[in-house]
Amino acid sequence: MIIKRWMPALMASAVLLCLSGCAYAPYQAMDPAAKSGIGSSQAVVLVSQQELYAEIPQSGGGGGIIGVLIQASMDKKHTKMAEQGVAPLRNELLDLDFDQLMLGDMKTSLAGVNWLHADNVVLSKDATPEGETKLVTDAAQPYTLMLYSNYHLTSDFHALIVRVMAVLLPKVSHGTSDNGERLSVLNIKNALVVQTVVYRKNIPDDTLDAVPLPPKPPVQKGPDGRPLPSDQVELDDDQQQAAILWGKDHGQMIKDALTEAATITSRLVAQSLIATPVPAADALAAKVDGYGHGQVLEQGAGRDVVLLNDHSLISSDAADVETSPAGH
Amino acid sequence: MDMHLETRTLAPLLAALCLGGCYSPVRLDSHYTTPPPPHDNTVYVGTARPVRQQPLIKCMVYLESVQDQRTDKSSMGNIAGREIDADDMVQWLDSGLDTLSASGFRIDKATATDDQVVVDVALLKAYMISMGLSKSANMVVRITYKRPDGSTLATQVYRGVDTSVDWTAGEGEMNTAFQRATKQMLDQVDTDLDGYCKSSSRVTFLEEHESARLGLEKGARKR
Repeated sequence: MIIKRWMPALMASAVLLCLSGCAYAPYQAMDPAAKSGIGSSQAVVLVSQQELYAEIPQSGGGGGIIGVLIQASMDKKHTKMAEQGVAPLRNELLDLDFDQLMLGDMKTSLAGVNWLHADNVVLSKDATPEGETKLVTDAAQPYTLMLYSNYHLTSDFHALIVRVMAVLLPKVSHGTSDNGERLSVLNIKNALVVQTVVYRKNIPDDTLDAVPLPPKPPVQKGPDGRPLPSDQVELDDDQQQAAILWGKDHGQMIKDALTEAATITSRLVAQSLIATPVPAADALAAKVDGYGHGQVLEQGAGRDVVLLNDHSLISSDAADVETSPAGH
Repeated sequence: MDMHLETRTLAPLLAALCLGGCYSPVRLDSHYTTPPPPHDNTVYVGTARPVRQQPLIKCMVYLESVQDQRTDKSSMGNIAGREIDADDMVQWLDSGLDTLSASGFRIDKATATDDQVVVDVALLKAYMISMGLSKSANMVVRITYKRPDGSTLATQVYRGVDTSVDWTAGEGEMNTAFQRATKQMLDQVDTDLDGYCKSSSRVTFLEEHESARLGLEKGARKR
């Protein structure tokens, strides 16, 4: 009964949360005619995280209370492993301010999107529904381009992913729900454009194999010779090698990748706002490992830009993009 | 064992989820409190509970400054849509450093003398991250250790991380997570500070002096 009573509120909150953090919303093209109506706007680079993190594998514990408990226990173990592995990289990244990098690159790139008139490009860390709503409704400009930005390592530590979802929202909600109620400004139905851009940098497997592993700490044993129970978790060899490689030379590799990611994602966001990306007639068909099929938009410097079939853009290492001539 | 303990906390989780109030900010306490050990299963019989000994004074420490150098002081992350914030993390850290006196450091904040290790503390990160049904609190400080003449002994970064199941995204739960992360970080500081005390000759003298004095007092009591 209580659950039923609170269900609408919980559902509404869930919808609001859909826009926060790393959630994904489907592509929505900008109506070219609507561009002329954007007199001025602000852009908000929203980076809710404080530092780099590593994803955890999805753990399905099954149904019911027991299922929840199993999932909670597995998530805790995976989180502990991820946090332990990523901590040395975080320490190396203390002198690199990704938020400012992204803000600076977005400022430069969005200046080229003439119709947007982004007079003000700011940074926000507040990913609460209230905070985001306030950013849009309290803005001096009638439109806000929210740039939901996120950077993380995959759970195996093999790849760095930087994702930016650009969502243009009017200050006043024009969207209505199925039963005619006005939707929150943050509701995705209210957006004029939704475009996702992904940057992925992989560690090549052959490079990983050459990384020597540190000696394993001795197992603490009790008086009976049996191992003592421990709260410590251990990374897989593979994860350890990848973490060592990212962190080598004071984290040079991950610093370079984050810097490149900010530049590339900003450029691709701006380009997709200037004109809807359209592949050339003879564009190569592409299959991006882990992301699906699309068409190649750009090739060069060991990286390809692919327009995926869901209209999101991905900049990936060329080695992870399988290409074939158009129509094959 | 863990599972048994976690079952007991499931009821508040469900209650909190159903009864709403989920989106008001979580505010951290203004002062740090040493958290209880996570799994103290010792059963004490009668008066057998160990009596805490007053530690030997290892050395004198002058806490020159505690600064909040976080680039973003307004947000400490959010869990289940609840923003986490604190009025004053300097006070939290300051009270945390005070607890080092329990391991024998005499912390002075008012006046510098020439027999102390000088310590400057900068808070770099304090946040919570949510992953699946878990949460992780991170506390990061940079500490500069100096000789009484102001020359630098070393600069070190310390990180305390506490990972736990996110049950209710409640205030008590968040406070405990940050307390544990702070404690983990302070334990590392404790070990290093001990080393830096020993590497400063004036302070070593003090340690020997104090030890000798305490030894004499013990001797006097025996007599």
